[in-house]
Amino acid sequence: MTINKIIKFRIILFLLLVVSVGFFFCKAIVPSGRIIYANNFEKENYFLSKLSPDERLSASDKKIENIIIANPVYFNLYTPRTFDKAVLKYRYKNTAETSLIETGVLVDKNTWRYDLRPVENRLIDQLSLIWNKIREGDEILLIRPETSDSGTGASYSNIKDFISNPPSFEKIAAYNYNLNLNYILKDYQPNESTTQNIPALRGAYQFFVYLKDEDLDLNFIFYDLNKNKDTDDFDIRLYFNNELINFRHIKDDGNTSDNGKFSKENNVQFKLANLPEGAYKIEVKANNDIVTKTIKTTHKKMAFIHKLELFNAGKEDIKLYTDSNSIQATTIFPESLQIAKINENNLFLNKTYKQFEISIDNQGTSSEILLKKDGLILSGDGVFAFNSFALINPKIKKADYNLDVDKSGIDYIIAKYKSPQKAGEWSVVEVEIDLAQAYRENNRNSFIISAPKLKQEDKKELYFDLIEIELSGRSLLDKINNFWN
Amino acid sequence: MRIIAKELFYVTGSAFLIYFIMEIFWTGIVLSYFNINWVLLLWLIIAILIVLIPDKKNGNK
Repeated sequence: MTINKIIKFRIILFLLLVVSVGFFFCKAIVPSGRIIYANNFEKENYFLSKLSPDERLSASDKKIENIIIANPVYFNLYTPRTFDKAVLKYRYKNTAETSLIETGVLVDKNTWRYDLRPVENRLIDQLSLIWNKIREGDEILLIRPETSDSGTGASYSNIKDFISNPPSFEKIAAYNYNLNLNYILKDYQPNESTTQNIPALRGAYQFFVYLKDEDLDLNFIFYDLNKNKDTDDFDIRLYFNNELINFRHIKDDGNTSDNGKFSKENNVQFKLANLPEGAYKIEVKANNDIVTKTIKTTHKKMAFIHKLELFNAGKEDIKLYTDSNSIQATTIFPESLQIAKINENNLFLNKTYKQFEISIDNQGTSSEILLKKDGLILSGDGVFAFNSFALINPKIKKADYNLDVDKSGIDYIIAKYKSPQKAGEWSVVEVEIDLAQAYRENNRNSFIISAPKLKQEDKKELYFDLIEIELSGRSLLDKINNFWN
Repeated sequence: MRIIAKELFYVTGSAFLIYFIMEIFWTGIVLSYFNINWVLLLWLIIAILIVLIPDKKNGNK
């Protein structure tokens, strides 16, 4: 081999290396700003992880487990760069006939909150066959036929009319729709002598308070358990009509170790004057090291949203009130195992780390929960209060499997929802997800597939054939233009 | 043959080094498409071949 030939050969080899490096950079940068990743469960995929956890999955003829038998399951998406939007395409078979399937991306790791979007909502699918329907793009308004004068739903000719002139609050249910209606309680009078008897709560929670001609006045007493190594900074946020209007940031106690040494009590006052009448949401965005010993307030209406963890402080005989139709309870403490009383029903909590559930027909009324001991995580589809008079739920009823439209007196359902398309035996659905607010760790986003009614003991299956994610974000050209401008 | 092996040895060695550095600074950039251990393995096989193929010029193995 002559020197010339050797040099040519060397050049070709190194050119190939340069091309391969260029290829990897090109794939990582995604110059067009658009890329599709897909998982058909036939082989391991670096970008789209397999579904997990294994115990909620079952195997099919495919090489990777793709049958969901219990709720919920998760998967991760690795992307070498960030994107603004994802369109998730699922091809699946709902052999479980489960009434609600949702999917979403993790937006808050501390509170383990996923921003859920609809995949399949059978209540809306079924009602849209019977009720009068107005569809405008992704938005759908369902009107009970007997509600409109002529029986054709003519009372509202379009969704804009409905939003500008809505019917009364109690007649509306919504799904995946942000309908900002002013929630006003008639005949409400503030009472300065009210005291709320709030027991110790652990971690994050949210609650509503109602204000009328009064200042917001909340006095929290926190302490830090120091059981985890992270710093335990946290926020208290105040929202009105879903908009953040004020917040307090509370710093860690200075002990960032996991020595379990309780911090001193920290008294935090959250006072705000001149607020208009209405329901306000307060969010305590803290990790599990933070315990709220109590909340002192004179506000009459105060109800905790969906979930609260009663700290294991040895308190007994706790009474709560809820408007939830299904209540779940879990404990990790053997000493907190008990028989909880919900109205006249018993909920047997006889195993730690297991979620127990009870369904109650609670359309429009409230239930009383009697707990012998604390140390429980309570959740439900409604709100929880520690006094019967404190119960308030300014949220429009959610149109899902928990809603009985007849018993609840619902005449209108507004939703942002598209039914899945049928392709033979398969259902195909595309779900748009905003990734700009998503939580990202190690270049990965976490996604959830939630089918709340899918339980292992029912031995029903949700069969996934394909998960495809189309990502879009800024192109390389956009980034260059942005850089120069 | 030995010359070709030597050239391949240089390029696979460089490839492994470059891919490795790329992975350090941008995790997953290479690994998401293929396992760079295969490059390392190829480099080792070529190295063994170079040792085994007799060097005609010097008359050595």
